[in-house]
Amino acid sequence: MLTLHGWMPDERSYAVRLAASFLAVPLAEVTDRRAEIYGPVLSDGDDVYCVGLVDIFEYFSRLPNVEWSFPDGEERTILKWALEGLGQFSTARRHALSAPVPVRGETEAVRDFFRALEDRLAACHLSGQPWLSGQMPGFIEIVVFPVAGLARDLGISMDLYPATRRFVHQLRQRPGFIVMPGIPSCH
Amino acid sequence: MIPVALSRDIAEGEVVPVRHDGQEMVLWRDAVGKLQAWEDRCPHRGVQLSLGFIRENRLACLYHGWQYDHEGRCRVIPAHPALNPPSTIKTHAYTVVETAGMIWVTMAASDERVPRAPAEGAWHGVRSLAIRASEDETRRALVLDQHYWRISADRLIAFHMPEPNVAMVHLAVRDETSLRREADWLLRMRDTLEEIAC
Ligand code: FES
Repeated sequence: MLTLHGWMPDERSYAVRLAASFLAVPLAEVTDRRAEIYGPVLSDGDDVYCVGLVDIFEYFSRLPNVEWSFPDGEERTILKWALEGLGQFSTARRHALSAPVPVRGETEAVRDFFRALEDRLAACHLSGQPWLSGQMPGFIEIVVFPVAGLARDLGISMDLYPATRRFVHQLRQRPGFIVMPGIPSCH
Repeated sequence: MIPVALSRDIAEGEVVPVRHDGQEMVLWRDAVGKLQAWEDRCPHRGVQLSLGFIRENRLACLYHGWQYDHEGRCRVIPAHPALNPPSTIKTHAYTVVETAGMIWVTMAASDERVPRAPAEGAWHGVRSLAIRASEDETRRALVLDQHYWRISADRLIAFHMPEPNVAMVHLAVRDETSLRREADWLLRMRDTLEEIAC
């Protein structure tokens, strides 16, 4: 049985849980606060040991019965961009949530990411492609979702990003969707 | 009236915040596709209704779960399931109209007209795009004197101001085959306008 060593409020740990849930990969979970700094770790106590999202998603994509392939070519570039965005967002969110007084959470880098994400999603929509990964959601969506879903933690109002809002709404409707603290289940 | 979004950007069951000129409202679309526009404030303890969710075709507040029907009347208070909530518990509603591919609301101190949809054909929403520019800069760029919208050839271009230095520009066109080209035009306009604005 695969075990995720993750931290519940950590966005990257959530991304692993979300991918596993969509792909119906059974996953045990162990709380490990180091995931907040070093990223989630996946192991089976034997010969599987993956550190970080890229390793873990690559591993997931090689499992039998998993339909999502690991992004290649142009999609790999988009995945890299999404991972950078998630990293910047995580840093800003940790800073905002741990500040002793309310701070302006949205950094310049986070704002640029939201703007680029909105442009990409709008372009996809206009060209009849429902997801950044193509006709079906994939690992890119899993990386992007925590950023979009937790935007409110940084005081980012979704009225400025209609395509991103639509993306959040659509991914939430899919079977297997799960939540994390900050992403309520009732919506 | 103020144009606040493209119709196609709010799906059934979606709850969306909208800000304009310091006012906050929530838009939500019910199960039969009808749109509601209310003040973004729960009559109970003032929490933003745009944080809420749809239950049984009513908008439920995220805080204590009070549910408001399409008339804005409170119908359910989960903490008191046997109680029939008094009719005085009601949200503040704005007039909302959907036409020409866009959503228009009447807010205080505005007498903007809604453009009529053209007799032939329909308008197709292209994109709503946030542009970092003041209202004056946006008006100059869009050649708009006092209204929030203008029809120029095949384009209906409109805007509202969610933040003092952010304009939300909405574009709809008559020709459905030109959506991508028009979206590129809008992006170029954003880049030019932001360059000028900074
Ligand atoms: S504040 Fe909305 S139900 Fe209490």
